[in-house]
Amino acid sequence: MRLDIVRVSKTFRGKVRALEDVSLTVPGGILGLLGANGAGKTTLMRLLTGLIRPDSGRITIGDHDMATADGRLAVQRVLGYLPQDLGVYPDLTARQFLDYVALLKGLDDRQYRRRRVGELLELVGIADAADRKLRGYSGGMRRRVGIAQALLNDPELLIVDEPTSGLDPEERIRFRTLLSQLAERRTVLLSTHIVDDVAQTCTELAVLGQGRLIYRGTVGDLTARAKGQVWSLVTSGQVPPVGTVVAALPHDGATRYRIVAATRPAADAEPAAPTLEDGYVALAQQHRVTAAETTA
Amino acid sequence: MTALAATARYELRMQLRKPAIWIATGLPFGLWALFAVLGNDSTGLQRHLRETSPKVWIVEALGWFTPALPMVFGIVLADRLVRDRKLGVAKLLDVTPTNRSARLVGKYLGACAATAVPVALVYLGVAAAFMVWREQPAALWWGLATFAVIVLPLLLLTGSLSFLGPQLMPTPLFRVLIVGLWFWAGVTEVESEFPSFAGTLLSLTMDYPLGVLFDSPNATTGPAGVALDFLRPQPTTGAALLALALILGLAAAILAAAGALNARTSE
Repeated sequence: MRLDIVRVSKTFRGKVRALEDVSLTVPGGILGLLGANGAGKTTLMRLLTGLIRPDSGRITIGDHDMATADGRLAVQRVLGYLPQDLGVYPDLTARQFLDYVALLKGLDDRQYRRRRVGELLELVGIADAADRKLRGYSGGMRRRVGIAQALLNDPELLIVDEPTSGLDPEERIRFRTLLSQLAERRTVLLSTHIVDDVAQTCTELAVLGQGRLIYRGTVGDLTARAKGQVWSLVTSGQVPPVGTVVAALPHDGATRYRIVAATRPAADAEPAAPTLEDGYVALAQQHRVTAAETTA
Repeated sequence: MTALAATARYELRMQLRKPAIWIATGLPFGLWALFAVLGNDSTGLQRHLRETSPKVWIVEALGWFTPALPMVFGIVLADRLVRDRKLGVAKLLDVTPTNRSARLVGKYLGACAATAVPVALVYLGVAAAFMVWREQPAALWWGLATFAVIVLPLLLLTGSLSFLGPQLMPTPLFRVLIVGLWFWAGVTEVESEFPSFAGTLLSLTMDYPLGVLFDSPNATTGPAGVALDFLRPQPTTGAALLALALILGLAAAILAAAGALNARTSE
């Protein structure tokens, strides 16, 4: 399912500009959406689900225009959405909660609905706890319920907002694998600020910064942006006031720093191979500089 | 199954599991029973019950606890709509391919039905007991009639107020205000110098339907020579039916306002 976002802007009450002139096309498959907190990722997700409307611009999903009620309804029929801060009814069991959402998603046939809920409870690994009230669920278990509810209608478009927050490392790996498998035959939009989640699941990504689209391309290209800008420095003294420290590890009584900087931060700093996280940090640095210059 | 039916079903299920609903609705009945026993010596009470017709007794019983019902309903229902947003469930439900209004009405009907269950069980239970004891089937029929004509409209009105009010103010404040409204629009003396809805077509103690349709001696009807008397017509059947229509119409209008505000807040 193809997504076309054309020159979309959104300002909230209180004059908070969340998105500004964002254009983005997703032909299908899985797209990672990266950005710092407050970059506009959640606003973009909410626009795509039809929860809110843009002030200007146009969003088309498949053949459906999101500006019309019919278009939004058609998209919501084939949509799976996992919001960032998922809420559940604490007085229902996981099975009941999924049954309720399934009913609202139009799974009217009782036999099919029961089977589907059962399958998804198995898929996300909470079948054993399915008849316990959600009140007693941990954050990770609730997240799994959220993933299950998003898949109830076998969606053509899956939008997941910070899906792995609250999951333990094994759950995170399992969920990333599941996402990749799901993307084989549907469009998946993965919004996160965890760079590793994108690195492990996506080949394409977009980056938002202060409400603007600041990158759209492949993971490889973004990684390559940091080429010649990643440095390894072992020191027991002060960190050079240049660039951004992306990692710090104890090393023989000193500390080994990994620094992203346009110029060598210290004479004894060694060049290092970039990762996606380095590319993202380099892009963010560049964006901050450009934004500061524009403001000046 | 439609969104309305699904939402009503699950709301009913969730609300019925709340201990608060049983405690809040059971309390007025308990107090009523206590006062009824303490206020009469047991021989006198038995004689009174034996000598009273089923209709008079049922209406008398209703008159005892009707005044407390709006307060109880308002307090119990106050969090039902706003809790979806507080829990974070609203944004999940809002992206389902359902009509938001259908879900709102389903939630409203489910919540009101759940609140009606304990009241119905106790009140109709008492009517049934009276029916068996006096061998008067009419007791149950009067119980059902008063429940449908007095209790349910009252519940629907306070239900819509509880869907609107907590969107405009914090829920605890709404609960305090609903008690104030109950005083002002229900149990205040009609002759009070302070203008009130007591004894009007919009009285929260349902004076006109209770007084005209069921001959309740506790109901206050008719002009009283005080402010808002245009809402206190002569007690006729037409006035009683008008009172019911006004209460139900007001409930529908307030629910519509609650739905509009909810939709606006969600966006």
